[in-house]
Amino acid sequence: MKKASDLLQGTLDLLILRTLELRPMHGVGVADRIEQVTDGVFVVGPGSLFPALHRLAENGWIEGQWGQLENGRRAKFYALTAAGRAQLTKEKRHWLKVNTAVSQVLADEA
Amino acid sequence: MIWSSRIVSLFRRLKDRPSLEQELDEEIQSYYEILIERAMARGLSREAAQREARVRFEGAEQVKQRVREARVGAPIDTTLQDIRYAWRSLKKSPGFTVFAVMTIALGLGANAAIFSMVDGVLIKATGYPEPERIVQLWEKPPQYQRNSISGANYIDWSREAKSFDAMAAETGGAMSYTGNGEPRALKTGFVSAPYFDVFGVQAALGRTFARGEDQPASQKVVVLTHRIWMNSFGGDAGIVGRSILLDGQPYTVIGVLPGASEFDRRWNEIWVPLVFGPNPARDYHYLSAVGRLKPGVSLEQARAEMSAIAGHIAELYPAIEKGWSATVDRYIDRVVGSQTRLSLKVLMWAVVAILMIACANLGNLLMARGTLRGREIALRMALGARRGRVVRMLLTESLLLAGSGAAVGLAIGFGLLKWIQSLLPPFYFPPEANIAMDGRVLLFLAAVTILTAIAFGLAPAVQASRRDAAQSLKEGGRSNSAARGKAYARHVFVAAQVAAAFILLAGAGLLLRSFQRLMEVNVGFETEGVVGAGLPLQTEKSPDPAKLTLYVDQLLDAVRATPGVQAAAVASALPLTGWGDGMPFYMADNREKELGTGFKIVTSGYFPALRLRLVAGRVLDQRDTESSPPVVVVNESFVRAYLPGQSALGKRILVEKIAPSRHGLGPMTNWEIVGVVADEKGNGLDQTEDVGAYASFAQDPVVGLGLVARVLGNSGTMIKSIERAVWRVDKNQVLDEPMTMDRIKAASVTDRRLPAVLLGGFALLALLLACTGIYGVLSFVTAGRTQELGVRVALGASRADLVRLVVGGGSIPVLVGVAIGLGGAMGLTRFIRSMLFATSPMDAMNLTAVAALLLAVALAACLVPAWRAARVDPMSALRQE
Repeated sequence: MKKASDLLQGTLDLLILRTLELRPMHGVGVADRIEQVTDGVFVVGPGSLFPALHRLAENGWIEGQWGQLENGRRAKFYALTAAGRAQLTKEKRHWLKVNTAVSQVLADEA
Repeated sequence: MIWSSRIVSLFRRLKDRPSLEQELDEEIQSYYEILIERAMARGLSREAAQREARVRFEGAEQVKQRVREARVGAPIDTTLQDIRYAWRSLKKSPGFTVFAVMTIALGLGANAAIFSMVDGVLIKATGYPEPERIVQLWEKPPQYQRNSISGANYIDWSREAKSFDAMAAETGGAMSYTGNGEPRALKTGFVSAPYFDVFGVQAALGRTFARGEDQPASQKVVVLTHRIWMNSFGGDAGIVGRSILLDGQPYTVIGVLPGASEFDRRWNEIWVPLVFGPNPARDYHYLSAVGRLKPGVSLEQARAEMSAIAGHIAELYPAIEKGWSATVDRYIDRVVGSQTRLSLKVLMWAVVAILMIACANLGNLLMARGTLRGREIALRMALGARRGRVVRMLLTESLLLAGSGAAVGLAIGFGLLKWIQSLLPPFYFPPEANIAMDGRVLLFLAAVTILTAIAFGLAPAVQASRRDAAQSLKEGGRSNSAARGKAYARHVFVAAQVAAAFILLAGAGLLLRSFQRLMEVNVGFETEGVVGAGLPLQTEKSPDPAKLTLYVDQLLDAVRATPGVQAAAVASALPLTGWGDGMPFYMADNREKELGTGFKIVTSGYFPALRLRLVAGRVLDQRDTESSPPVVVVNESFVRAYLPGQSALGKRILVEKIAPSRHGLGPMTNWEIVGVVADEKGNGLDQTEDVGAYASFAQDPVVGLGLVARVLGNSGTMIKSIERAVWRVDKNQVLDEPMTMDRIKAASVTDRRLPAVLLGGFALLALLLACTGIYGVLSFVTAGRTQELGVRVALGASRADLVRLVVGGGSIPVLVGVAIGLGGAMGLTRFIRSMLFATSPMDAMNLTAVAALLLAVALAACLVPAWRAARVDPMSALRQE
């Protein structure tokens, strides 16, 4: 298993943006969702998650908004902005390019 | 897009940090709670859920810190943190902080003051528009480069030269301003009308001269400087158009020049058009000239044209002008004399050396502190502080020290600059020099401050961060003899300080010795009891010789009749202020070879007034009248130069008389030498040869005079009595700047006194700093060796052994420093050779004295720590273990 801190920063950003593409979520939701979707390959702890969320917010890609859970607990929900959507498209394309290239290298070796 | 968003976040962050922090707290708290709730939803008890959440959470503070670090502008935060930390740590040791800040403040203050002068005099551009187009013009005699210009030649130049937009001649003088209280002399610039066009300066009020306003027929007009307008005319804006009495004639004020400009720093107080008479002389050279080149005309083109014009004049008037040409200089290149330039450079190097000594001092102190703080730093590093972070933290501390030092230094520098300026005689620096502590100086100071902080802070910081944490913790913060490398670095600093102080002391010693020798020079007459003053006459323009002689006789009779006056005379130059005129002459028996001599015209009372020593023959006296044969008295230098081994008496020389107006020459005259007197050092105390001759005022009456008198009693009251006597003859007669001969003598050597005094002061400061440096290092080393010394005492070492040990250890770097300083001084002092008088740069006495002084002071600095070491009590020292 990979530790979250070893994740490339860009990868974590991509994962968060992609997760928020579906709907606005609070921090725990984002972490859980990533863990679920990757079958536990990526476990994102708060030590990595919070700095990433704040960095993305400062860049204007996501926006935090205080809201309430079903049980009445206050939590900060993050939503993708228009700029964030554009950034996600860009990062997806970049990731695919890198991924394809790396796969080709590996295929070549095999 | 990203950037604008980030900048908004940055501002928000800086604006409301507390609310942002609070929000982060809440967010994390909420996250933590959600984790707990989810775990409890899975059926865990509250305690178990909390435990699991905490494990997953990795520490709330760490998470917050990482968010802070990820934010925009995190470095600002870190810096603020560092500054807060540095502030706390400096506050904890106020003694060290005050000492360090004062050390830096002295170094930076001296730098700020001297740099203000260097910048104002040598670096800053002049305020003139396109200053590179301004040139200065000279006549070029066959033997040398630059000579004053005669009226006729200037007129030809200005008429024929095509290279210039404007050309102007200038000569200085004084005009008597009357009709407003006591008569007084105003320093006057007589200039051609285009003069202000050459410099591109416009009047602040009214106008400057119009072209053609310097013609004989034009109205009499005057331009005031801002200075005299404020001081003597109350800054009255209605002055323009009003008429004032100058030399008894009404002049219309047409303008006032701008304040705080070059023209306010000039000698002249008023400006009047220079009007030539009908036939200006070609053979009497008294003018200077400036010009503004036409756009696109190069200096070389102007030189070529001026040489051609001067060459043509030389062909037309071979009797006067044979071999003469013209010299053209760029004005700004001639503004600062080489001596002033050198003095300023020497002072600048001196203050840089002081700053370096201060840096070495602080570097040493910080290293010592670093050792004491070793445990703290080791602990930080053990807890995960990276080395860069520790270096940064310690450098922040240095910067804070340097910054505080700079703030105090600015005040010191300002005071020092004001003090130096109060010592400077008026007009010491050229008017173009604009000396002020302005933004440029502040910028310089800021840059130097940062460099200083790095210079003294970097080595200790790197050293502190390089320590092995485990080793430090084990040592228990006790420094022991293991720190060999560090001791070495400290000794290098001490040696460097001593060497720099040595060089400064040696330089200062040479200048002070020179100055002392200069003041001991025998001026050839008794200065005590002699007073002198300028005597501008209202008839200067077109003096009538008979009236002039009569008037001077009346004045002198009145002055001599004043009780307390023993002798009185007029002379064409006051003692110690030059010869008045330098004349070409021939020995009567050799008309081929042109020679030169100072030529002073005096009344007979001059010799008794000065008590100028008679060597042979007689001095000038009542026998020498208008109708008696022309005679001169020469001085010993004259005899040495032109009549070596001969008796001068009875020899004859051929010199042209000087015209009464002193703007032309009279007939060639055959003068008999009737006496020889001692040299009066007319050209200054530092001149060894001072060739001169005295002619009688009765035989060659001229204007441009000074009055000298030998008085008994208080010279101040005597000056007042003499003034009253003069005013009884003519209530409008000015006595310009009356002063004692001792003051004239002191004023004539100010340009040597100033660098000597300043360098002396700086050298003392360097000595003091080096001394505290030695003391500091030795104290620290000794304190660190307390246990070792205790062991030595326990094993039988005597007190004397301990003192020897400490002093011996301390004296090695001092001796090395003295050796390096000696070599450096021998290498460097030759650069100030031209500032020395009758003193060799290698003066052995000086070097020995400096070495002895330094060693004595260094020994004294060693003694306190040594004494402390000798008192070490073995029991208590060992108990510290």
